[in-house]
Amino acid sequence: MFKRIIHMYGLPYEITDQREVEVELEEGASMADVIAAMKAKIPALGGPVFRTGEDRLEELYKFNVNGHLYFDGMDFQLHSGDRIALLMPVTGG
Amino acid sequence: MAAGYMGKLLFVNLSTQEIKEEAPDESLYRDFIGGYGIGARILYDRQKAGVDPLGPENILGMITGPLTGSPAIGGARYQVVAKSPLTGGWGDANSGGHFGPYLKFAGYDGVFFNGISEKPVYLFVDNGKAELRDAAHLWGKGTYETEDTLGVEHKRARVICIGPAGEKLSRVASINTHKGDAAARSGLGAVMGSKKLKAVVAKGNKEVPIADIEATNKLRTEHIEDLKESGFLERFHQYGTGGHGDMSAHSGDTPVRNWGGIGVFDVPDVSGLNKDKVIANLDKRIGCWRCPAACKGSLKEGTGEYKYPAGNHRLEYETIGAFGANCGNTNVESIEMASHLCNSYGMDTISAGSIIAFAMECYENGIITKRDTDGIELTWGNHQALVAMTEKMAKREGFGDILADGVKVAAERIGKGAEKFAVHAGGQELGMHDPKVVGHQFAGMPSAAMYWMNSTPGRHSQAFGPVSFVTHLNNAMGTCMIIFMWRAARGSYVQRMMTAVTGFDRSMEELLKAGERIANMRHVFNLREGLNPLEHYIHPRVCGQPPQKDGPLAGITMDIKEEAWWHLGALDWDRRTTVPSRNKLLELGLNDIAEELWPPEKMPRMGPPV
Ligand code: SF4
Repeated sequence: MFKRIIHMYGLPYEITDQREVEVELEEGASMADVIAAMKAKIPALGGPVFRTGEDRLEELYKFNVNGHLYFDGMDFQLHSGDRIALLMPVTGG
Repeated sequence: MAAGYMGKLLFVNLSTQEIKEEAPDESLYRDFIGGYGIGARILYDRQKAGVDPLGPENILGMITGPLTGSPAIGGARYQVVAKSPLTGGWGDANSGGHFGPYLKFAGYDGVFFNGISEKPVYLFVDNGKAELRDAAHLWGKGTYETEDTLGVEHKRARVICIGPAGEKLSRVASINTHKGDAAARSGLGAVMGSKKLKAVVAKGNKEVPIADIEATNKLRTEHIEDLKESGFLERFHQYGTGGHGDMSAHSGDTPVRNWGGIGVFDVPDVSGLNKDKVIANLDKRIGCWRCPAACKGSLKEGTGEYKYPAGNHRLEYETIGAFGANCGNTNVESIEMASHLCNSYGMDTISAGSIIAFAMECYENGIITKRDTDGIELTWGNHQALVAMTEKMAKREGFGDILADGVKVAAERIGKGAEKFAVHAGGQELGMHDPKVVGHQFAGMPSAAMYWMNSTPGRHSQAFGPVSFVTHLNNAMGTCMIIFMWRAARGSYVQRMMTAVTGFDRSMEELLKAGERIANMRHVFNLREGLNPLEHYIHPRVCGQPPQKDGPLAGITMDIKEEAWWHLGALDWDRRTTVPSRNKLLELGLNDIAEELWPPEKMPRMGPPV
C-alpha cells in the first residue's frame, strides 16, 4: 500500500472546492482503483467527473500519469513514486 | 443560380476607383461554398505569388456564406481574406455581428479590393449600388466613433472598419464591427489600412433567396428546441465564452506567463477571473444578427481604476487568457480596459495580450529595462503596466512602436536574445489553448501541430486533419462555430439546412468534400508562395520542450512530427514537400492545380531515366 496525493486541476467549484485528495492505493493500482479511491473520499465526483455507478472517467476527463494522458478506455498501473493528476476537459472560446 | 446566394461579387480597384460587379459561375458557389473558400479560389486565380501584403497587388476580400443572413441560427458571419502581413502567407479572419447579413441585404455575397487609394475612402454598398466615398473625416478616428459617424450618415446601415492601429499598419491590426466584434487574426486590418480603406458600409432590403423556406424555418425551430432542452441557450446567454477563465487558468488550458508558467503556482488565486466578476459590470446582453443565444455583453462605463466607456464588450475567453494568466494577471477590470483599447484602436486581443506577455518576460529577464519601456515596469501581473503598454502599442508610441507588429518582429527589433521569448507559430501569436492539455487526442482539437500546420499558423479554431474539413465548411457557410456547429452538427442537420437554403441537394459527404477542397485551396496558395508548413517555426514551449516540471502538464511533450505525419497522410499530402497528391487534386476537381503542381516532368515514369 502507498499513499498518493492526487491534484485536480481546474475542477469547477460547483463540483467541489477541494483541489487535491489523498488516497491509499495498492502497488499497480488500475485507473478504476484510483477512481474508486477518489470517489470514496469525494463522492461529489461521481456524476460530473466519474460515470454514475461506474469506476470510469466521463468523456474528455483524463489523468496525467508521468507525462502521459489516460482517457476512459485506457489503463495504467500506478506505483509509489509515480506522479498522477486529474485534468479537466478543455473548454472552448 | 442556387438559392442562399445573392449571385454577385463586387471588385473594387482602389487605385483607379473603378468598381465592377461580377456574377460568378454557379460552380464557384457549389465547389467553394462561400467565405474564405470562395476567397481562396479568387485570390489564387487573380493574384500573383510573392506580392507585398501591404502593397497594391494584395487582394483583400470580405465574403459571406450561403447561410449568412438566412434563418439558420448563427448565420451571421463573414470572413476576410488576403495575404497576411503577419505570416507572409495565406491570411483569413472571421467575425460575427451584423455586417455579414447586411452585405447580402445590400445585394452582394462578397467584395474584393485591390490597389491603393490616394486618399482615405470608404465603400458604401447600398441596395445593389456601390460607391467609394471620402473618409478624410474618419481617418485617425477609433472604431466606435467611425461606426457611430457612419451610422448617422447612413441610417439602417452596418459598418466594418479599422482603427488607428490598422491605419498605422500594425501587423496585428483587426477589422471591427458592432463595437467589439473583430475579424482580428492574420493582421488583415493592416492590409485595409495599406489600401487607405477606412470602412465598408452595407445597407439594403434585398432578401436572401431561400430554396425551401418552410423547411428552413422548421429546421430553425428544431434547433431552438434542442438548444433550450439541453440548457445550452440559457447557460451560454449568461456568460458566453467568458465563463471559464478562472478554471482554464488552472487546468493547463490557458497558457500562463507567456506559455512558460504553471497556473496553480504563478497565478494561485484566480478568483479575479471568475465568471461572475466577468459579468459584474454588465449592462445588457447582446448578440449577433438574429441569434437567440445573444452570448455577448455590453458593459456599463468603467468607474473603478479603469475608465472605459459604456458599451465596451464583455470579455471573451481568448481575451481573458491573453491579457490574464498569460501575463500573470487576474485583475479583470484591467483586462476589460485592455480589451476596450484593442477594440477601439482596432487590434487583435490574442496577439496584443501575447505581445505584452512577451515584453513582460523580456523585462523580467533584463533584456529590456525601464529605459527601453518609457518608464513602464513590465513585471508579471502588473496590470497598470499592461494597460499602459497596450495603449502605447495601439498608438505606436515609444516602445509600443517596437511591439506593434507582433512578437516575431519585436524580437528582431529588440535583439539581445529576445527571440527565445517570442512565442509564435509561423509569425502569428497562438490562440489561448495549450495543446499539451489535450494530449494525443489531436485529431480535431488544439494540438501543437494544428497551430504549426495551419495555412494561417497560430489559429486555434480551424481544427486539424480531416476534422478541419468540418470547420472549413462551417466557416464557409457563414455560420457560428459555437451555436451552429457545436449544437447542430449532429446527424444530418447541416446537410438538411444547406439543402433547404441553397436547393443544391448534396450529401454530407459532398459537403465535407467541399471543406476538404477549401483546405487544399488555402494550402496551395501558400505552396505557391514557397511556404512549406513543415518549415514553419513553432516555439518549443508550445510542444512541451522542455516539459513542465509540475502542475497539470508536468512531463508532457508533444511529438509534432508524429502529428504532422498523420495529418499529411490523412490529407494525402506529400510528407516532405506537403504537395497534395495529383489524385487528391483530381478527386476534388482541382484539375487546373493538379496540372500546375504535377506537370508531365514531375510525373513518376516507368523505365530508365531519359
Ligand atoms: S452564439 Fe454568440 S457568437 Fe455565435 S452567433 Fe450567437 S451571439 Fe454570435
